[in-house]
Amino acid sequence: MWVTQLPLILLIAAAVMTLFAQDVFTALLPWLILVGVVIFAMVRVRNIRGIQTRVQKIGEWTQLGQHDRATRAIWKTLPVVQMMPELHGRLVALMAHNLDRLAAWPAAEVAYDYLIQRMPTDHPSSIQLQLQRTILQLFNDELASADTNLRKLRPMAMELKNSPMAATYHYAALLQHVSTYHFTEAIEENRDDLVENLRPLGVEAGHGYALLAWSCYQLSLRQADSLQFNDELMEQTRHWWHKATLLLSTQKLLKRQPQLKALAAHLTYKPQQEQTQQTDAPITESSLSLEMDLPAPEQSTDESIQTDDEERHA
Amino acid sequence: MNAPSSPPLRRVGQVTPDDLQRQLKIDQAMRLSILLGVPITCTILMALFDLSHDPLGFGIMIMAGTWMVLNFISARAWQQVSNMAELFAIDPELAEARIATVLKAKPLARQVRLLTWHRLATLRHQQQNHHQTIAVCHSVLSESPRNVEAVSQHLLLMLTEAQLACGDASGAWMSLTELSRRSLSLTHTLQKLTLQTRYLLMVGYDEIALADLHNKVQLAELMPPLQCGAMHVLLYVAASRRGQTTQADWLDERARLLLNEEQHQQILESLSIQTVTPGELM
Repeated sequence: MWVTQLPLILLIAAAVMTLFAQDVFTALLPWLILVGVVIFAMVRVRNIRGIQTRVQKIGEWTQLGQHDRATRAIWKTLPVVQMMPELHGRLVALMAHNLDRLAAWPAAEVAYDYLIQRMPTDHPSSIQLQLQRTILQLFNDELASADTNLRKLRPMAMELKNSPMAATYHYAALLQHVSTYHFTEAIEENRDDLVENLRPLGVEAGHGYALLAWSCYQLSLRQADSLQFNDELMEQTRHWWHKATLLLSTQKLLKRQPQLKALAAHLTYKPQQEQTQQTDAPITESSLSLEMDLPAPEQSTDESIQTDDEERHA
Repeated sequence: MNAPSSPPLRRVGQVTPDDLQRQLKIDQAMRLSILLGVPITCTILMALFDLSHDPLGFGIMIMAGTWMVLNFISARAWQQVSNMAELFAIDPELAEARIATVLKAKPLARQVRLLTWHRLATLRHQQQNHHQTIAVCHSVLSESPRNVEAVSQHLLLMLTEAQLACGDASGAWMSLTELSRRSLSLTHTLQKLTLQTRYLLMVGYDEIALADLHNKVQLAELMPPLQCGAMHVLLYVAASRRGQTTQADWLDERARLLLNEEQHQQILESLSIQTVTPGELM
């Protein structure tokens, strides 16, 4: 607290010293020191604001999927924020996320470890980070550690149903089944409510649907003798792959889970319309500007906004 | 024996745009009169009764002390209203009581007074009290841009949303135009995209709402799942009204994966509000 009051304390000290000053020099000196301190404080505040703006920008690049650029910027900024714990923690979290997206999973795991060690174990953010780390462990084939972590995290993650935390747990559990070739269990546990369980993940739920499609596909290959059952499973495969590609492009799915290439190659789908096709084109800075001449309201639209949903369904 | 009941929490009543101006004027007048009046009075008294050999120096010290006390009052108020995001979510009534207490405090520095009004706008927006949100936002935004630079984007977004909820298409257009002139952060850009689409749907410009659809969907994917789903529903409504069934089906299918049935229905119902007669407003 005293730091924020320092200019005032100095001001009073300067005023007192002026009262007892014997000559011009001793009268002016405290005021000069005061001005110096104020200028120093102003420069420092401006510097901190600059760093905060930079961290915010890095967060935006991460959100926009510009992971290379964000990682480079984090690498340069990390030494600057070493004495600012909040910004440092945020940057490490961004680093972990970017490395994860760049498929540098062992490095991302180290970053998550760093964060988890500095947080209370049962804090919701810590649980979310532990789940993220478990997913990376599964990608890195550290199956024993991942299994231990999942068992430990299950009660805490499932406390809040339909939360991102619970959804991440469901995804991790599904990934574990797939990584350990337990395709039957993966299908049995997720067939009915996977959409509901993964919904809080948003479009990222597509990775989960792709995993279930992969499970169905693998099981259908194993049970290829019974043609009828095979067809049923292939139908399920198509169903879940369609959902996955509805939310995420095939490129994105394959980037995260390259083993799905066989499935993507096997399935033939009706090509989507050009306008609605999921592509991997990055979001550019210019596309954020949303430049358009916003028209002013002109004509009378008394009716309520309604969809022709009912008409079309009829 | 009855347990002692806690006193009712303070509430902020209805505010008008003039209230902020009046409060700012009172603050300014009080600060100036205290900052000058107290030291001058003390100096005169010292000189009259010959209590100090240097009444002028003493006066300067008193002025510094007075300035410190005034800043202390503002700093305390600023502390109370600076981090309220969690309180808004956990206990809005307590948040309102805190805002009411700070608004009663006098004299406050201009920045602190404006920040408190910004918090009031946020609270009213959260309570979906749209008319009060508009009144508060207008009051703060009418201040010099230099004073409200930090919160003006957020205020404009809240104002636009409230205007859309009240069916004020003209007002929403002006607010959106004002937002377009500013350099927005990514979060604010995404919020603006949703509001812009809602506005275009309200005034019937479905074709413009659907322009550059691929880019808009990509941006929507950066939003949290609920907002992303809502954006898909908005675009679906525009596409279905334009008769672009392929796009409408695709958007609807995605929306149903992102939203559960209840959320989907709620968003559709929220779009069925009575729209304005823009011709009359112009």
